Amino acid sequence: MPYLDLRGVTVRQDTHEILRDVGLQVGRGEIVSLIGPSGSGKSTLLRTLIGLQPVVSGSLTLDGVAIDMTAASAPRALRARAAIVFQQFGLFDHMSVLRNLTLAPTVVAGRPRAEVEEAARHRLRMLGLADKAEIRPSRLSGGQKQRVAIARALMTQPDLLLLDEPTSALDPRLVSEVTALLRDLARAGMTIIQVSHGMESVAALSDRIVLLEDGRVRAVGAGARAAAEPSIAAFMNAHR
Amino acid sequence: MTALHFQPVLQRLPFLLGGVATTVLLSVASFGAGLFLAGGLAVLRAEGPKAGRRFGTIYSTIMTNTPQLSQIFAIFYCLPLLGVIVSPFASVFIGMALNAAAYLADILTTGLGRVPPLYHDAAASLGLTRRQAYMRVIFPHALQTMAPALANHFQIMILGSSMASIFGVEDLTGRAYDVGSTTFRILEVMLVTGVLYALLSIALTGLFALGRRLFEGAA
Repeated sequence: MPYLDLRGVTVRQDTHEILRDVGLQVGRGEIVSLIGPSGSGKSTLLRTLIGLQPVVSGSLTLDGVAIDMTAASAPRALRARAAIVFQQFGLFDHMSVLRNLTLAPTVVAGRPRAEVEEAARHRLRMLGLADKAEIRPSRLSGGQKQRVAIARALMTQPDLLLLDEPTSALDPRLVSEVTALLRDLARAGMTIIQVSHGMESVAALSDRIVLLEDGRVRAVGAGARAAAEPSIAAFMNAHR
Repeated sequence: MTALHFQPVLQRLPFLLGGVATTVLLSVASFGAGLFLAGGLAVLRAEGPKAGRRFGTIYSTIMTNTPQLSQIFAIFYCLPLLGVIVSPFASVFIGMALNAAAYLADILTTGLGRVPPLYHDAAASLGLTRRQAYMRVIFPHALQTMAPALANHFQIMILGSSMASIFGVEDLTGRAYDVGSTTFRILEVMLVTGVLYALLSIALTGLFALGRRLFEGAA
């Protein structure tokens, strides 16, 4: 039984269907890359998995727990297990980096502030950002913002991590750092679904590659030869 | 030219300072209540149903296009007709708060409009409820851009609260009239009152800035 089993997700905006009967099966600790042309529904699918996108139909089984994606309770159920890193990060500039990390664990989960701050400082240290704890995110570089955004997402202790273009703001050295971090997280059992246009990292990182086109799953490549699936290979070669 | 004699006025300074306390209470309370109502109006305008948005627009149009004094008179005389007897202080407080709500809602709407849309998604994705998102993320961020306008309006309300004396409220201006009518030193008492208003305004707007920093820090 897969860790994540998504079935029949349809998302409609006005009369246009952004996602059409999309399904996705992912094992625990897998890294999945969603690829496809602009407007194919990749980011919408990520938003659906964190409950930010209302769906017309669809069901999800997450770690054996069934979630009706059309139910009003779906966002809460999803956010208890998943976290997302946005392409533009979405870091809150009116508070410090540290407070960005401690906000959800203290306010949502009600954990003691001192304990959460210690955990947040530890995570910042691990990401080489120990000296940035007290400053505002607007003073960070793109790569630093990316790492803070990942750290903030991890502070909610998710077992499903969603990333929208995690390497687009990074220089090549940082790309390999973030790639290594994602690999470590997956090795520790975290399931990762990323949207990426960086075909090199998609090929290097993914256990499963899903090609979306016009709101539908066009092809799925799995395992060591995920990138060799003909439609996926053709798309990746055209976008390298 | 008549010489100025401040002595009779300064002898009654403690009496005037009692009026200062009433002015502070009236300004702070009506600003706070106005801000609370304005928050509701701004959220109604931003995310409410069509009828709610229309109500917000009509309310603002009426309150910002009629004199505040007329609004307070309406409350002062209309509430008793409805069987609700309130004190002059309460009438002025309600009138000032309702009037401030309209202006402050405009300021909040502008401030909220400048919050990056991604903040709403980011707060929701972290599991914050709508209320938590507004209290911890949206309002504190918006406060950065709208703080100067809010401080301005607060200052206007401190000085504008002097109209309370028309309704018999013993605020700073009310007591200044009392002192003037007993000492016949109208010019002197109004000069002293002006200085007290200036000091009060500077002190309260300073406290306002401090409160803002504390609110941002607590978010």
